[in-house]
Amino acid sequence: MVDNIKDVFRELWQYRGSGFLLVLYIAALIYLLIVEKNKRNRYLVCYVPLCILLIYISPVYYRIYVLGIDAVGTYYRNLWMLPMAVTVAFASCSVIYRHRRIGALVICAVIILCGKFTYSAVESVKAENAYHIPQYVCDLVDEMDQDIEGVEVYACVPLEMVFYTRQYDSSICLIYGREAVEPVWGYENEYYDAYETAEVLEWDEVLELTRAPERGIGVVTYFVVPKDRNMDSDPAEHGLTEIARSGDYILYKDTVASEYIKEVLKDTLYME
Amino acid sequence: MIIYQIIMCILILAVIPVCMGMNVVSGIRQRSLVLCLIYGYLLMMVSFELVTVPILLLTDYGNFKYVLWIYTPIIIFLSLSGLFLANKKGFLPQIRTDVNKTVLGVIKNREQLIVWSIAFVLLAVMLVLVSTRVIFDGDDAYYVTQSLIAQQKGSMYASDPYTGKATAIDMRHALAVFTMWISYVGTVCKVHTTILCHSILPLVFIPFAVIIYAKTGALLLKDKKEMLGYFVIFIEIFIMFGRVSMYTPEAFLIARTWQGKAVAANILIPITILGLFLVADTYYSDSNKTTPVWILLALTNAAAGVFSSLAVIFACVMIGSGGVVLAILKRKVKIVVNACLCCLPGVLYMLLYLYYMYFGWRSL
Repeated sequence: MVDNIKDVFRELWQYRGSGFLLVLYIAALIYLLIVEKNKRNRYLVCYVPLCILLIYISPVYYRIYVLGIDAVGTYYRNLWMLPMAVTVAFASCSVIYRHRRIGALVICAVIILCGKFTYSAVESVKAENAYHIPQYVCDLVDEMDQDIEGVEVYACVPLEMVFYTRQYDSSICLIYGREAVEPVWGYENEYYDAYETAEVLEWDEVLELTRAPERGIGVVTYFVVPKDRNMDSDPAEHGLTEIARSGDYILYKDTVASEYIKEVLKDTLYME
Repeated sequence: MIIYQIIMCILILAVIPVCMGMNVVSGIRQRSLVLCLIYGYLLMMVSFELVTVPILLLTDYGNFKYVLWIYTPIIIFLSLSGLFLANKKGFLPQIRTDVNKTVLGVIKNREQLIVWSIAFVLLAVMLVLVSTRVIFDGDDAYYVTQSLIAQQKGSMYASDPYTGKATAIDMRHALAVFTMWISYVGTVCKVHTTILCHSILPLVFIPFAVIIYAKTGALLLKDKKEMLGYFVIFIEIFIMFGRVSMYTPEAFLIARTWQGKAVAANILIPITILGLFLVADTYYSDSNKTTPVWILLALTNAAAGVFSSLAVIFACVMIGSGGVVLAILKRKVKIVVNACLCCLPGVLYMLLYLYYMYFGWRSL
């Protein structure tokens, strides 16, 4: 039980993050508990949130949640039920009622100081197009098409393209996807190991996997390679043809795999 | 084409929800245009869930075309019936009067004009930022791609979004059909769902979240109406500076607006809070007409499942605790009974979810 309570407070601490908005919320809640006289308002911003807080810290609810609902890692989402923004804004309005202009400036400054600007995150970058996908991904995926209509394109792309390729065109299948590249999920994937994590890209090893006959018409026909990737040999020596370049990436087409697909589908409706 | 896309987006994301909302809001004491928009969206989601889930579970590969064929006439019918009902109950003239009164109230008062102008500028800044900046989120590879598969291939949850391989339905996510709703909007408006998710929906859902907060603020500040503009400014600053950790609703609203859990945190939960206030307001006014407001709460509960299965739990916990607290305050046991009845859609959803999780897909 002690461990459960520790877990609950650890989640609360992580949720608080680097700012003091949670502290500000608790201050606003206490203020409204003392000052607010309107019964409806007290019900909404004081009593119901207090009840939800009690449920949140209750070890019984924690056990039910973890055992029957979702993982420990999402327990923080229970805090979404607390009307933090509403409570802080309402308490602020109550505090500054008689000195609105200066009061509003002070409140804005307090929220800014206690919070953190959304776009200060390191992963925030300028959008390159309406898809909000890097332009080089769009350019390269546009070049990927199958010679035979109705046959899916299989592609092998570097880690930085894995998340975006199928958001742009879902008809492109990937030899490995997000499940292989998320370190916390820890799945083993031989294609990913050979193509992405190997220090030097050994084409013989990669092509042996991607052209394996058991893949049938699912053999890989397109490869995207970063320009500065260490490779043991020139891709052209292995039957790969450069199709396009965009950004720091080169798109190759595996002509051997393409021919193999045609061979497999010979005398079928696909070829007619 | 672009004119068609703009008109259809305005129609589906603004006009139709308002008309649909008139079905449920026309009968309540606190009825307003904003409440029509809010509950119209919920009605839109619930009707979508009722159409999509049976198709998903009973047709081969979850044939998305059936959704298009069945859902479109339903929302047209519900919009028309909403308009008819509002007209019958004298709600349409009231909307016109209310809007005129509010706009004139702001324009005539210099302080209010300045405060509301600042609030609109802040909102505009937020919308410019979400349109021009990108915050990477790995979950997009799942949610956005699911929507795109339905749009481009016409099947629902039949292939793995990460690789494209054929797969069995992922029941953990499948009942939360918000991704398919996005796909529906994208298909009807002829907009690529990735563009819809990343460039259009934030322009709709962020102002929508602010509107919901503003409505709650308007009810809380009933005796200090002149403070509402300040309230909205504080809310907007809170959203803009709310990313103290990657777990807050504000962080989700800005970085993942189009994902079901973000909508649950920033739209559904605030609507539940608003619904609880409407219920409390009705009881404190000693009004006899309590059923319509309970229906609004039940609608909120039913809509939760569209966004995420977790949202169903949250909606039930909030409505349950809100009901118990109000029952104690008003000393009326019936309030708890009503609250439990409002949670019934959520309970049914969870039973279906658990059934498929434990016995597997197509086990019926």
